[in-house]
Amino acid sequence: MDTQEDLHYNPFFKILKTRFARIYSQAEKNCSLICVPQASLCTGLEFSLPFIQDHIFSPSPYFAGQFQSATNKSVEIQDNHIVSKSGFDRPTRVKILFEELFYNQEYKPFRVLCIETPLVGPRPVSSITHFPTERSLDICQDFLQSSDENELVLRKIDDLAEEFNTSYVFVKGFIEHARKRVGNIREQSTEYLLCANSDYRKLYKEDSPKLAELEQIIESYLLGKLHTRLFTDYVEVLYKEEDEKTNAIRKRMHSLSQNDLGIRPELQCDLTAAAERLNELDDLTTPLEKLHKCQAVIDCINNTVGEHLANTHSQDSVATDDLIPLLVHVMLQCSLLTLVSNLNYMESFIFCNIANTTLGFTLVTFRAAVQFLDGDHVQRHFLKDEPPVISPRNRVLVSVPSRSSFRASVISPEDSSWRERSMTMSDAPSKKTVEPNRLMKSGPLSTSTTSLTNGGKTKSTARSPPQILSRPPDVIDLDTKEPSIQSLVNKLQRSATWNSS
Amino acid sequence: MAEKQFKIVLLGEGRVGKTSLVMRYCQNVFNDKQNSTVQASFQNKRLNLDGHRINLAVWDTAGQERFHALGPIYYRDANGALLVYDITDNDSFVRVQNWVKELRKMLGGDIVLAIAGNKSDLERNRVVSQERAEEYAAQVGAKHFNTSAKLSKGVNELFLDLTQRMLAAGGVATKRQPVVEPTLTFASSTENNSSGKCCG
Repeated sequence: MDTQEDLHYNPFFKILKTRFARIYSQAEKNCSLICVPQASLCTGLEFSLPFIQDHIFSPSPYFAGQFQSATNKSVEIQDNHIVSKSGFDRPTRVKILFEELFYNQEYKPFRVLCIETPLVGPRPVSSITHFPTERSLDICQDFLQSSDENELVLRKIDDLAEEFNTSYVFVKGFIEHARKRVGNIREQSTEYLLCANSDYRKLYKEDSPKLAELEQIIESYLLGKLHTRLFTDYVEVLYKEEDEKTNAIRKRMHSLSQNDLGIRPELQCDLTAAAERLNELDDLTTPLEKLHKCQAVIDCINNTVGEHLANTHSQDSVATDDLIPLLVHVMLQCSLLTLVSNLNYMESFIFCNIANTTLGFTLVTFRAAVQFLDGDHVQRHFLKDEPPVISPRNRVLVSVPSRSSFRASVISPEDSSWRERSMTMSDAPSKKTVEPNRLMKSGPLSTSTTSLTNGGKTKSTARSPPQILSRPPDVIDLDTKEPSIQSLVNKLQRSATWNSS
Repeated sequence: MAEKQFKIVLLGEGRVGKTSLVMRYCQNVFNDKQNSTVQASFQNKRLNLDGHRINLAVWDTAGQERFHALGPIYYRDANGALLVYDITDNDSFVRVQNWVKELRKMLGGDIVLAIAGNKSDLERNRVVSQERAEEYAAQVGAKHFNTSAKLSKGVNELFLDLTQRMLAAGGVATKRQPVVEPTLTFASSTENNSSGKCCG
């Protein structure tokens, strides 16, 4: 996960910009290369003028690829490390942690590298709590339990989790509500731990990326406690039908070659290793560690294909148009039966912000591959000899919340005229809606779900109207493809009559 | 300092060199040796510009016709789009025009568009004239750039301008949903009413 420090809070960088402002503005103007030692190793360091100057470089006038400081030290960048070339007391090799691009006032870019330790002087000791980088449940649990200060509040958090496990009533279609509840518990848990632990509290004040890391660890701890109830009892049940449908499609497509799937010949290679990783998804507990596993699957695909390309001396790379069929191939090869459940679990119950990270991209790519399997293209090209599979999502379902009035929405992302029609449909009758608590208790309400095809939906099912899990929904099933608006109205009316009788 | 998140969707046919164009900009100096875990389809770059700290995330987007239905999954919440064509390939320019239409349809006028005519190092094989490309870009409210990923020409200007325009357009990743995102009237109204009542 992307949790690099914010250079604006880095002591070295702050002092460079304030106390040595002239040097900084000169460096800015010359588009120099600035090496900033990471913040956690900056405490106790003395920032003298030569020390600062030892970390600012311009391209060497003599040797290509080398950089020179005003103090006549020269370095080279090799293999993610800054390596000393001349002028240093002893040979130095320091790891580069990350790079940022800065723009000066003339909008010319210059690079700032955050490096593991200072390039000169004794190696300082770290002052800030180190968090585990892995997000597996065990590691997160161990980390939180290792601090005595946490003991009492962890028990409190366990109680919160236990309360949710024993008293929360799951309602179909209200996954968003469940998400909110779990989100609240997560926030509360973070608050508890920040109050109890002075080390964590320090982070709250100064370093937001570190705080984000801590939140992930707490989230993992909490979701570990809720897993059985949330995943096994709820999400898996909710998406059982869709899982079965996808599994049926995967079974039928299993023997398709990479060629059949439209994978470019240059990229075709054995991806068993990736499929094996995907099989491990069910052994994991928290949504976050599951997503890391998905990331490992994507990395494995990229690496395997990358090596294959390197062996053939190709400059080619794996674009998204390639990645989707490659991932589909891996999904066909693996034996995981709960793909859709897992996907929805990750989409609904990851709370830390992953939107603009590799993890976020991975999640979307998994959604895209599953949707592709479920879509028209597969239906037309690979399964055309067999009767079409109509998934719950491919049905037009209609909600009839009360006896005399009804609202309906029919959606087809591919066809916008449908949307307009649905709006006129739903706006015409009364706007009466059903209160969820009434729904849960009262029997005869006929409430059923809407949704048709899958075009643009990422969280389609999360938005379905309410259904109680235990009671089979009263579904009005309409012919899928092009139901005329009149037939829809007829069926609705029939159902309304049926309801009032 | 609060970091601004910008999502840029990348669209272009397979052979126009869109990946190398983005790599040119996003690849870090210390990663020149094509480390094996580089994911070409998603790239990040941290910028510091006019006092803003910005995280650019470039999402390569499924563009093949057979993945047409998947586009919206990738477009979601995008602040900008980079459309790449090859100046020696007219078809690739036509495709760009189709995507622009689609993006405007899905995301409305808010999305900031940049069109890159790549492979400007092959000027003598050019079939898409610069006037035509620029006229088209102006028509759809996009900005046109000539780039060469190979020679690293025009790449910095392209991303700088795109970022500046996204900053001007708002800065925060909006929670805007693509138009195709289904709006379940029934579901949403019920859910709104329910907050706090159900199971609480």
